[in-house]
Amino acid sequence: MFRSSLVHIMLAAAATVPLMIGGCRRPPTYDPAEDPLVNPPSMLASPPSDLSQIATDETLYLQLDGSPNTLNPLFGSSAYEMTVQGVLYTGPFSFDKEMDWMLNDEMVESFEESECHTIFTLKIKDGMTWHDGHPLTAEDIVFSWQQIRDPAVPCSAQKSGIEPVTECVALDKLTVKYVQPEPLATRLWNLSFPIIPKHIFEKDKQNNPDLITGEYYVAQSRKPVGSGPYRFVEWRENEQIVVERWEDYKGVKPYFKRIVFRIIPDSKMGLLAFEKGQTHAIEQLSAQQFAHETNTPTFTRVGYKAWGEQWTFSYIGWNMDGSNPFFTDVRVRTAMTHALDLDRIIENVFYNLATPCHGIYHPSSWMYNPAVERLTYDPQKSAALLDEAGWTVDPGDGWRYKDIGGINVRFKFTLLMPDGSPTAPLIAAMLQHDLKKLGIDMKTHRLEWSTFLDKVSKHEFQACTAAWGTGTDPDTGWNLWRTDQYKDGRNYIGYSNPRVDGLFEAGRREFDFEKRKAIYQEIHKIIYDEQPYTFINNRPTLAAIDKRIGGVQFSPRGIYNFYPGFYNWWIPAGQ
Amino acid sequence: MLGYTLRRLLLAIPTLFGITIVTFIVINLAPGDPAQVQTQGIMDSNFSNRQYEALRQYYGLDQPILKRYGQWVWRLVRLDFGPSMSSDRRPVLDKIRERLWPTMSLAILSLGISLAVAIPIGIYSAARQNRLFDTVSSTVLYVLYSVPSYVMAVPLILLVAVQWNLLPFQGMKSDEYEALSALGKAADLVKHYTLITFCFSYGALAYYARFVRQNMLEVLRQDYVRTARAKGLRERHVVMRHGFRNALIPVVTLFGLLLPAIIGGSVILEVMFNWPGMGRLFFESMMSRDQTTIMALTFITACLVLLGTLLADLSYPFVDPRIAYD
Repeated sequence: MFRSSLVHIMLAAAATVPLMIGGCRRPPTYDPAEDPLVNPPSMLASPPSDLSQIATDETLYLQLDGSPNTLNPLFGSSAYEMTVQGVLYTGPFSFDKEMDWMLNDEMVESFEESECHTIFTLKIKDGMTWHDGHPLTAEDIVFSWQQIRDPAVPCSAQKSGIEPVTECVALDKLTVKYVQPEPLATRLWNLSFPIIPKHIFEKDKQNNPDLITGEYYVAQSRKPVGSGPYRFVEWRENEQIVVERWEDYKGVKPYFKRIVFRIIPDSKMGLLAFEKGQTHAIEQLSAQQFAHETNTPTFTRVGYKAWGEQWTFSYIGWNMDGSNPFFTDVRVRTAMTHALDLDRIIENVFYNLATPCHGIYHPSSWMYNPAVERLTYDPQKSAALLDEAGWTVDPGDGWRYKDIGGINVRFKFTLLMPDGSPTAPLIAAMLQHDLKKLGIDMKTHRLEWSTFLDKVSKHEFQACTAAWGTGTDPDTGWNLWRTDQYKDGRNYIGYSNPRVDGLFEAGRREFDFEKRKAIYQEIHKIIYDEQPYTFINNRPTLAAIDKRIGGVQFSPRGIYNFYPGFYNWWIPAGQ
Repeated sequence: MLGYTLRRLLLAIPTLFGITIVTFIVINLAPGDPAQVQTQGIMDSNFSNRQYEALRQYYGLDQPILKRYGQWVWRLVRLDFGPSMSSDRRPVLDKIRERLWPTMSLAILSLGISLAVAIPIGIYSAARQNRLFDTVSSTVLYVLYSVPSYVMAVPLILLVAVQWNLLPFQGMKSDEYEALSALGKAADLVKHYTLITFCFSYGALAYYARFVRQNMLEVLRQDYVRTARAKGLRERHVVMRHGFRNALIPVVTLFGLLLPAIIGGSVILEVMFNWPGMGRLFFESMMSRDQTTIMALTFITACLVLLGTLLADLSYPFVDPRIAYD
């Protein structure tokens, strides 16, 4: 019988996941430092300056785990869309593997900032063109800025970034003047936005002011004319996107002649395709795959593993907006952190591939405060804190209760988690077990991704677990932690501390690096001390890379989306 | 017959109307909307609610639900399903058209194969009830029916595609497909279809074979079969002409219900084999709350269900002369 009902299929899928996890015997402890396939020197070797030692005629096959909707950089909303858009388009500003803002020398002739940090003058190099040969000028930059500002253009991911830039004009063919009336520490980041070709996108503007609907724009977004080191060749729907090195590119040309982005949505099949040599890299393996499914002869023959650390961290957020009687109390939140057996989680769920998270900023970032001491697993301390907060164990049934306004409330809450994460249920199960011993009843509720988003953004939860990708500047934490972002932003848990509000405000306006650093370090400490989140782990980069490839670099966002990313990858000539 | 068909078609209009209005309401009551998935989908912190509201407005999601339903129906009357509510804004019909063939071809193929194999097995094992063939085939079929296709797919791929390196397991075509000769193209397609068609077919095959066998057994117990045997007809004649023809009636009913399955596809198999089909489109649109695409797919599926049952009803007179519509 055909399984025609979608509900059935989803139920079946949901049923297999725990089965697969539960069905596996516990594998022996994995230590990545002992694994000979992890980060070998050849994989990290920088490309030699002598081009004749490098194979420059090769094709790089990369796996994309989803099919892009559009290649128009204004409308990309997923990581895999941005990966493809990134090679097709270039802009005057970028950021490097340390997440530091940088000028793109390949495009910029000069860049000046006025002393009051409000006026910026950019001169781009003469002779730059789009892939169709049309010159790339200041007009294109101004046009792109106008389109992002235009309320009719629904490019939500780009809008908030450039809001402070109130003026952007072309002084001549190659010079652009940007104005930000308020001097901000984030000023340089605000100038980064995708540049689209004016001569192409102005054509149908009067009929379709959103730059996206209608035959013309749909065609453009699927056959883009860019300005980057690669130009578009072919897009086979749901199969692959092919780009080719643009030999007229004015800047440094990448080593691979062609990149084929293969669309492979299933991670198991992705690994098999890699082992068969159909792809040269998988951006992210699961911890299980990295530790226990890649030490096979088929994998060893073709691949190495890249292991790094990202600034992305996962957490359990405690809703402290007063809608539940538990988590407004800092002692309760701290008790929850003490109840989480993080060492065991790192060993059993992440196979020693992840590191414990020390708060909102990563230890390798400049915002990190070394004075923060991580709270460790300590059930006794946890019990004492709960007692102190008034949640005492009823000897009758073993659960904790507290008298609130004459009502005896039992400590019972639900943890929401999105269904995409393979690790969240395992972590939740461990926490659940430990909390039960403490007399706390935690239920878990797995939700499909958009339902999860809906619930958390409406604050309809008691606890939730998710992860935050890192912003390029600590100011991006603004909408997670400021009191006013409970309504407008992503302060889902209702965190509120006037001191932190003020510090974020001050950090935005501080130009002295040391002073700015002190501000964010203080934020880091305050938030850690208040434990609005129980911080779990930093997400590791777990990639599979073809053996012949060198020049792999790690950034806090992984191995792809920074400069130079995979432009730095190379294969020795004659292999 | 014509009158009956017309009446049925007219009756389909209110049914479809009901189906679409219920679907529309359900999609809108479900938590989350496309604007939310697009603005907050990435767990990056650069976002404010204003942009979310602006995007909702752009998609018209701030309008009252009845008004939106009205607009949807009005567009439908002009055979326009509208643009997709995702960042590509492609016409929904284009998206569906692109995905239709991979799923349809697969379904027709597997339907054909499974019926072609299942019917003889069913007849033969019914005719030889409890003999060796019947027992063995029953056991094997039962095992096959019990193994879900996505469970079967993994070892199959590992063995045939990876270990033995015999067949490809991703997508419909090889990279070099365009450069191949006509014959090469055909061979390439056959290779890509083999594994997924097998996974698609064997469960259905097992089900049909059991179904045919069951019906045959019932028919073979009837008086007219005994009469046929008593008047000295050859066994072959009895089974095929008197038995099988009557056992076919319930199979026709089943056939009518299969049309929607054809379009529905199988999400899991399509994802595993990287097959660009309808099931995946449906699943992806659900995940991104792409309302216009979901509505179009539901509408088309509903039409097919109605069409399928109608076709089944209309074909009864051909297999059973006692049934007639006037």
